Amino acid sequence: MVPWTCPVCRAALGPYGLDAVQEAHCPSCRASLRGQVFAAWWTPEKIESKLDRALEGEAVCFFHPSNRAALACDACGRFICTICDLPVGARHLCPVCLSKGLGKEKLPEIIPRRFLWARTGLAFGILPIICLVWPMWVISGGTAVILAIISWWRPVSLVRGRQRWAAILAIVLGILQIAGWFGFILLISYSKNNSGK
Amino acid sequence: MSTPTHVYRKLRGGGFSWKGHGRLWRAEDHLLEVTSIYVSESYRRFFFQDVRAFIVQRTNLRAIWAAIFGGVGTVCALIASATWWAGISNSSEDWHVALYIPTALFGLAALVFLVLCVINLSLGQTCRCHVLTSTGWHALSAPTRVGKANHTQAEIISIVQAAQGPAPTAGPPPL
Ligand SMILES: [Zn+2]
Ligand SMILES: [Zn+2]
Ligand SMILES: [Zn+2]
Repeated sequence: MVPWTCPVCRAALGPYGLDAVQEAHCPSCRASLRGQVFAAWWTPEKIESKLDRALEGEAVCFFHPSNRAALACDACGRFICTICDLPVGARHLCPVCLSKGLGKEKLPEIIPRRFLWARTGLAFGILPIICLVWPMWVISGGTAVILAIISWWRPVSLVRGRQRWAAILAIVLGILQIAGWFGFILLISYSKNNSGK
Repeated sequence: MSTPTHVYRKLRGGGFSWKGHGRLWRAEDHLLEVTSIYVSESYRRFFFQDVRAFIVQRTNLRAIWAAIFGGVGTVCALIASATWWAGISNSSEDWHVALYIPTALFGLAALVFLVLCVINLSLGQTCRCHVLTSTGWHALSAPTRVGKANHTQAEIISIVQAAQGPAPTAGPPPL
């Protein structure tokens, strides 16, 4: 059984009353803790070291023809043995499907991070306008438009989905910045010409 | 290959840390922790089958933030009143109007810190949630207030118990 430790100081905890409502203190770091322990804490780790040799007529692993099939891959359906079984979240995959999923970020269960293209474009669209740094507008506006266009095909936030409005707003603000930059340039050259006369 | 896309539902309560803004979402079979720095999001998953314990740790961050906001706000208010008083007592001089500029700036800053202090106090006690899985303890980036954490805790207890069945013995874990 795994040792029961304090989540804050990792000291082994004595048998004190952990309760979902009533707080108790860690004897080592005095942290005020309350909570719940679940059934999974008592169940020992599933260590399936024993390999089942397949008997005559039994389904065998696609990758190990001498091993008995334990289950089927949830993605491609191939029979796999306990060695080839790779649990990904709640699903079981074969090594081929897992590496395919890793390569192109197709498995939502293993994505660790997402860059949000449309939101970044929107930041480039809004911030330079708020900060009134107009000499930069031709660069920041162009960046906003490019990021928003790229965002159309790029992966999106797992929880918020594709935010098209952010991309459209970024394009509009980006074009406004570029137009504003050319406007200022025209204004400056016009006033210079006039004062030169 | 088939790619199941999960439908996520937002849980109550967020939290700020140096890693960004944290938020919990739940899918059918797992809890997703999203830490956002606006331009990108990072994810951690806790599968209900794998959750061994959930603990709420009460912290005293609320008192620390209250002291910081209150202290800085008080200093700003003192500077504002000092410059205002200096302006009034030199009202015969031409330059006394210039003293009202720091009065306005520090007065505004004092007001901002007062509002932050009131918001911090009204959000309730601070806390930190921890999840124990087969890989050990994981501190969550949200929720960070006790009121929201109570909702999260109740929800997680009911989902995890539904997924795993009741614990073999009631009460604290045996040692
Ligand atoms: Zn401790
Ligand atoms: Zn497969
Ligand atoms: Zn195999």
